[in-house]
Amino acid sequence: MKRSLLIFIVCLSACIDPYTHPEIAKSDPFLVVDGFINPMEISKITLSYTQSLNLGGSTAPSFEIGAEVWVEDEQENKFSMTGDNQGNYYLAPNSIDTSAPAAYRLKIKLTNQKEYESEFVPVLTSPDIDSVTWGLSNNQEVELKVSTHNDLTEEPGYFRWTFDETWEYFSRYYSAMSYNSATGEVEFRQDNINKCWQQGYSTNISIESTTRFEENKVSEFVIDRFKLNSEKFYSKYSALVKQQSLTEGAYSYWKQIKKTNQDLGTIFGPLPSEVIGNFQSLSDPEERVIGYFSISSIKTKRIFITTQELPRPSQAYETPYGSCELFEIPAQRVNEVSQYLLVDPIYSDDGLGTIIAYTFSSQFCVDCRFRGGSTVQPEYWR
Amino acid sequence: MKHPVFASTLLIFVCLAAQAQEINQRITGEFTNLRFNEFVDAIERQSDYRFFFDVSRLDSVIVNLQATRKPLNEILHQVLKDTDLTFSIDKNNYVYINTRSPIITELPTHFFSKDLNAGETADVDNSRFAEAEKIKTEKIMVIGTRGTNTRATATLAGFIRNSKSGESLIGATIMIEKPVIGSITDGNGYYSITLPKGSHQLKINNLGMKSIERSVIIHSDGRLNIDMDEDILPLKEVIVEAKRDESVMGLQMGLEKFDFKAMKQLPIALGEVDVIKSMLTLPGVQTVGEGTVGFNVRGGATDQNLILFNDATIFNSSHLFGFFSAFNPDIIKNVELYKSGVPAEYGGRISSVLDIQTREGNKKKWSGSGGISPITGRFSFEGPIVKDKFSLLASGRSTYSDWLLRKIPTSSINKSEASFYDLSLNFDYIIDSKNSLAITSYTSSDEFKLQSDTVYAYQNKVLGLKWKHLFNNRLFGTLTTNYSGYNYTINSLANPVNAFNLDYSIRQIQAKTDFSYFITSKHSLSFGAGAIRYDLEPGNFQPVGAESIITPDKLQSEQALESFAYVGNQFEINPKLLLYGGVRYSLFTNFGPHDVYTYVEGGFRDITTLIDTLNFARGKKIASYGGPEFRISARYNYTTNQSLKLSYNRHRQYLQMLSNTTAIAPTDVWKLSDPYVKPLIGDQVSLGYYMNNPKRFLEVSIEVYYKWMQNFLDYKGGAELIQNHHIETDILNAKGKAYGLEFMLKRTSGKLNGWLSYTYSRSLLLTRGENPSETINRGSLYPSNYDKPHAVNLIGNYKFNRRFSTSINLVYSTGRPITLPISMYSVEGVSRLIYSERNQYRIPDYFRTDLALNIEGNHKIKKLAHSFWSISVYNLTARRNAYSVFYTSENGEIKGYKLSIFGTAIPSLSYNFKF
Repeated sequence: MKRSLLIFIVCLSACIDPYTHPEIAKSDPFLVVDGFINPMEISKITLSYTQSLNLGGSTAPSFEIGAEVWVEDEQENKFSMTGDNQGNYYLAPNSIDTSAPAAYRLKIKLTNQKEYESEFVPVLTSPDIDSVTWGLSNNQEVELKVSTHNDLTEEPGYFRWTFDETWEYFSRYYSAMSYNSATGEVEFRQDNINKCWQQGYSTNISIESTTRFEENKVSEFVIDRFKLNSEKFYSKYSALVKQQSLTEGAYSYWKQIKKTNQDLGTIFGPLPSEVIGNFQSLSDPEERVIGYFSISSIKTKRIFITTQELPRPSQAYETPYGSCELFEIPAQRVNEVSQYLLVDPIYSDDGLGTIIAYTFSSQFCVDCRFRGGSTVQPEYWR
Repeated sequence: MKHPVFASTLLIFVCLAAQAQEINQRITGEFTNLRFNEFVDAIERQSDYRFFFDVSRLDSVIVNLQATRKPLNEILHQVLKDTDLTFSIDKNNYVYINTRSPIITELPTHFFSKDLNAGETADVDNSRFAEAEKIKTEKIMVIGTRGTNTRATATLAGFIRNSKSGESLIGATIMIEKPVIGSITDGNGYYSITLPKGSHQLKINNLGMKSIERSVIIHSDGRLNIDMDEDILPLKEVIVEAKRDESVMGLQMGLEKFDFKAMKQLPIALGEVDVIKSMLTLPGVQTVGEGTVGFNVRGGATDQNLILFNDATIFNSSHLFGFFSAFNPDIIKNVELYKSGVPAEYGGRISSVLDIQTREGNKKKWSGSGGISPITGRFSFEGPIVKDKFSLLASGRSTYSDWLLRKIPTSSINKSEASFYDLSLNFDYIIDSKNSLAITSYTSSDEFKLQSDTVYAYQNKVLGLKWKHLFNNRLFGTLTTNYSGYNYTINSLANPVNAFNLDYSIRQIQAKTDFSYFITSKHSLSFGAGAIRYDLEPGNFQPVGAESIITPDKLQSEQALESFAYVGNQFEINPKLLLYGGVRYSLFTNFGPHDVYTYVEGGFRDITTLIDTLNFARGKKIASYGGPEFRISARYNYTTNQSLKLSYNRHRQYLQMLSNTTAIAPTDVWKLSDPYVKPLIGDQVSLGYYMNNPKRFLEVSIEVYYKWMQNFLDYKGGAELIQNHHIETDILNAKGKAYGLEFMLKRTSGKLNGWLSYTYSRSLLLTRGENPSETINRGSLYPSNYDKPHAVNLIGNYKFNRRFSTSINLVYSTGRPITLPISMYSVEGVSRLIYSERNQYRIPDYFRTDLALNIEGNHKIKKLAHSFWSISVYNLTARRNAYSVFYTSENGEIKGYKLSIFGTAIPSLSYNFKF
């Protein structure tokens, strides 16, 4: 009796299998316009193309290089953006006037002469972030929360948050020695390759509007959640939360992207649909263009979370070191250690303290940089 | 003491009858409107007389007389004078009621004398007994009085009831064979049949009842109530036997019937007999996925089914996200699903009518039944409050899932909560032979919280009153009034700053009258009229607690009146051709108080084109729609075992559900037609061929249909349906069409029985607006969310013996359509998806095998409780059938997933009992 209920409930939440549809048609690539203008700082717009569905893989999309990209006001004053060779186009800080209310649009002329333009959008100012805090959910997850308010306007606010994250992590083994293949000597290691800082960025779409609220205020909005036993919280974690104001149109665009990408597949989930942005092709009105152009200043706030603040997770930290093992190599054969890294010396037990062997392990288990982090402490780290 | 009297035992008794002194007791009393057995009870109480008679012969005799110290023979003469019954009283004061010739309580004086031979028993008229023997019945009843009727025909009418519980039987057939004239009992168990004067052999059949025959001699119009005995061997497929005549001979097409006995034989998931899941085994009935109670009939949407529970509309027919249907199977008498050829008395939904009737309480004795399954428990009891007059039927069902959930040692699960219950209480009161009253009440409630802090709860509430009145033998009427309410609440209190409560409710009050008029046996008329008042509170979003900064947001209430009148006329042109023509006229008016937004003329409706707000005061008409709905059916039998049927139907629907999800979700809201949401109109033409081979118990049917739907609701991409003050800016007006073929081969009886059905069906939509945002798939036809072209069902039952049987259920269907991503792009380093045009792909095909073993308790008629065990395995092959397929970006990577609801074999065991 109990077992069948158990299966029933477990299936309700867990009968999800990976699946690839056998016949997904290939479609022609569309132009994708990514980025927004922050009037105060250097702004970046990236032009790329859609690619056919390549599940699990992460091949780089193809970029549009050498296009003409400019911001234009209603009087047709042009503010040109300069391109690089990776499909990015930059606008210098303070290029556009934010003192008077004005609207701007983005115009694009590709190397194949096709032209695109966005709708006119206003310049928005983001209010300050009141606080970035963390909390613990029922399911042992650390929630990153943001609060903000806007006293300047009665109009409801629409916000979007992104964040850059940094966390300290360690390799499995602390390496005290290194083998110098040039000299053939074993040296005491000068650099610390045990402790690294990893960088990440938000991948979820976090948006909120205050239309439902009486006050123009967002209280402890959860922008992301992580497992408590994530390696991110093994030592210390930090996030720089960035807040951007949106127009109602931009908000609904992001909401639709969120719906069609993140909320699908639940039992009562909505049906996916086509998402329409604010760009259009001047050459072919039927052509789909992906992207939503917007202009807003950005406000940021940083949060640190140390392991001591958090409760002990009930399960072990999720590290990829499960298969790490220490091996031994006799001192005279240390030159054979090749791509492995030395960890500690092993002394003879005759009281003379002669090094008779070394322990060693793979680079993955010894050098934290092997996993993409850097051993250089970021300047904001404290 | 009353006993059926059998001739043989009687004769022995007569032989042994001792001489006794005649006491000639006198009887005093006032006997008004008593059934004969009640009258007998009264006599037996005040005297030594003891009656012996066959209850079923006297079931139509009503006693109305006053007596003061009258001898019994005088009284009985009076009571039985208009019948064909006679009586005899012997010296022990034993009273025998018999047909035709009185029982001779004393042998002829010269009986034992030597010179007697059999031929000389002149005083005993044996010839009639012999004749009765020849026609295999002893029961000849005389209806009416000779010579009072100058016409060639006479009408016989009455109720057909269950002899044990007194409950009326719906759909029982009563017929004579020479010439073939038949009739069927209506929803109240009432029949009326017009026969040529003279002697006839009546045959009476009904599901689950022993077929009986009655010999009658009809002189003039009269009443004949008939009691049928239950077939106490529940495994015997009487169910299908009764349908056998109906599928070929009946007028109705596209009608599916089920009773509890048929339902409980099917393999079941989670151990509970389920009304709606049983329907899904039939051709033309589909569901978008497991764990959804919403069902699709012949390419219609889930909100296009009229679900009636004792004549009252049920808005949400599911429990626990749809894993159970909201009806306790124990109290269900029968379930009828009309897929086409819907009679004119039904209206309001365009796809189908699911008519669920509960039993009337047992009027003879108290009894109960119940069942225990892994997740639910149910119990019902019934009995007479006043014997033979006033009965009660109460039932309750609940789940212990909350308790079980807490036992599971996984935090995400034991913090979930799910509970539900449903209760029903029915009273049935026979006021007199012409009037009866039924009161029905029903409530269902659900509450669940899954791993999150948001609580969902919903309730159905129904209260109904039905008064049945018999004007005369040919005219029967009912007056029905009922209330149906549905409401849901969603609340989240975890963060006091955002704590909220969202309420939704719909209430419907209906009053209607229905009449059946049997003009001749070949011609009958049904007519009626009624009105429905709707009141909706479409959404009330409120802060909870002082800290909450949620803005109260209340959508405007909606109110409307739908009134209707109908007439249906059934006419038998000749024994081969039967016609039905009906028309229903409905009129819908939506009225204030309400504010209606107006938009730029001719442009697309959007918040940017909103130009004005019109205020409508209380009771002021906002929008009105109406029109006739024609219902036509014909049956042509070209041989006795083959027939062709044709029907055309139109329906109008003024209440639609706003739903953007695949299945019915607890947050879906019903919306009344208004200036922007036009009523749905559905037309259907269907043609069917029916054949049976009674010798081999085989039945074949093929039906084809074509449907047109207008004003079908569709949604713009990313439409917001909850708390939307201007829903008209998010909805689209689509046209739909559906067509298909349903084939069914059925073996109705024998050790191996069951059916195989194949359905080919398509359901397509077309949305062509004035601009691209109001057009879907560039204005071309696209499959609806529940378009599943091929479906095969196999139900097989095999009886090992009377107690053990096994059944297997195989289900195959094409996967439902889905919109899939076709390419992807990167924004801010994260991969995102671009979707295809709507519904251009399909999820994998669905296939499932279920197996059940049913064990009946022993077949002693008298024992403490009749029990029934069912052991079943749902999804025996543990196939992970897709409920949906979806793609999502996780940590910037696109991943495809398949969600299965029952991804494993689910064994269950249930115990059902009846006492």
